[in-house]
Amino acid sequence: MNSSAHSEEWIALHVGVPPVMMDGVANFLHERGSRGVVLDDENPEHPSVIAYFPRDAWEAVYAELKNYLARLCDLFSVSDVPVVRVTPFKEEEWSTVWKSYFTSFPVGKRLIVTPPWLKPEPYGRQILVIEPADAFGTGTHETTQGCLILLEEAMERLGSLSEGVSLLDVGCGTGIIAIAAVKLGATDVTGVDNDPVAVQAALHNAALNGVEDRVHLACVELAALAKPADIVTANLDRLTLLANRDRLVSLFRRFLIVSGITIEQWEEVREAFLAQGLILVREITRAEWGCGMFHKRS
Amino acid sequence: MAKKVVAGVKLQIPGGEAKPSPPVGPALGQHGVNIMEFCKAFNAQTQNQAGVIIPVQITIYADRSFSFVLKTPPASYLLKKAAGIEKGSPEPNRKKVAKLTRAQVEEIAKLKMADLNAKDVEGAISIIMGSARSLGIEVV
Repeated sequence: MNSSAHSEEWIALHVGVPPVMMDGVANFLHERGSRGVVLDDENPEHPSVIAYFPRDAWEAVYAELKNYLARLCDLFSVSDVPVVRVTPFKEEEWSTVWKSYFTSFPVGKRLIVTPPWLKPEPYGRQILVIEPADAFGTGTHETTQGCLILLEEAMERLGSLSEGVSLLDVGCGTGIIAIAAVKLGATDVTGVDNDPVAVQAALHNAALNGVEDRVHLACVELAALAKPADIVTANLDRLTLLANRDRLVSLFRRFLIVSGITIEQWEEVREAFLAQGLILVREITRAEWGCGMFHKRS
Repeated sequence: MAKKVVAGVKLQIPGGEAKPSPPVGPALGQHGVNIMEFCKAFNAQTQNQAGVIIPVQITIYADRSFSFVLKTPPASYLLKKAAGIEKGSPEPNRKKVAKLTRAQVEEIAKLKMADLNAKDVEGAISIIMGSARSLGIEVV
């Protein structure tokens, strides 16, 4: 985008159309130079098509569109001619405006999570750089934060392990938990996800944090995991956790952290893991989410 | 992970050509989606369909991460291609610009079936017929 484009003003045309006309109207707008359209059918009875045109180009399109809509109404015997709403707006730097949704923030006692474009003061904490993109786990969600807090506690408790601490993160998403484990001192760290998009994101984030050679990331199904670790983190969902509880219990030696569970489901999940003979070390319930850390009876 | 959905956005954009300008920018920017990441991922997945209109459904989660699903090109695109025309009629009630056979429409209906809100092939055909009429394409 060049600098003159920044000040360019745009016109959004919102066309409320019956479902039968959506495809025709979208096509009409594509043909008249819109670089794409938004189809808003959240209300299926009253969908709309939204297209954007530069300010100097929209009037001709608008006139033609009104004409086309009238003809479609005739064709489909629709009595109410669709309404076209015209909204001007200034071009913003769209490629960066979304960044205002993200900021650096502390988690637990030892971590700061930050998007890559910010450089927060560490104040003695470890900085976790996570690119918010197409994988879950940007760090802003309660399920991820709960997991990070419990991970810190597990690492603290295992601090005296002379042979080093191993960690397996099941459903690693952006890699945030696995990367945090490396930064908190774990020496043998594996993160797995069954979604290749997530694994790519995790590899990218590991490189952003300079730990790509200290964390093993792979696209693996939970059912295929066999190698145990001192700490297992599983930020998944109720059904996956319940269906795989035997395997998860067999995979950890010291601490199992489960998260990704709504507050209504937390009790059921907690009881299911307690029924496996585990002891609940700590649970965190906040906002709409619950998570917990278990260890084995010695 | 328990992905809590906060928004869904449906776009139609040319394959391989997603840019942060409208409609992608305003449609996704307002939900805090990393627009450049979306454009890169979309363009990578659609590089073999450069310029083809691709419907894409984007889901935005509570932590502002996103996922997206590509759909088959719109019926209007497939109809114009089958009819060998560049543009639909601006006056589809009066001026017809092309003809297609019912078999051709049926073929498009079957291709689009998964993405249409239709109970059966007949339902899908009637949706595609509607698109054909909007374009001024006669089905004979």
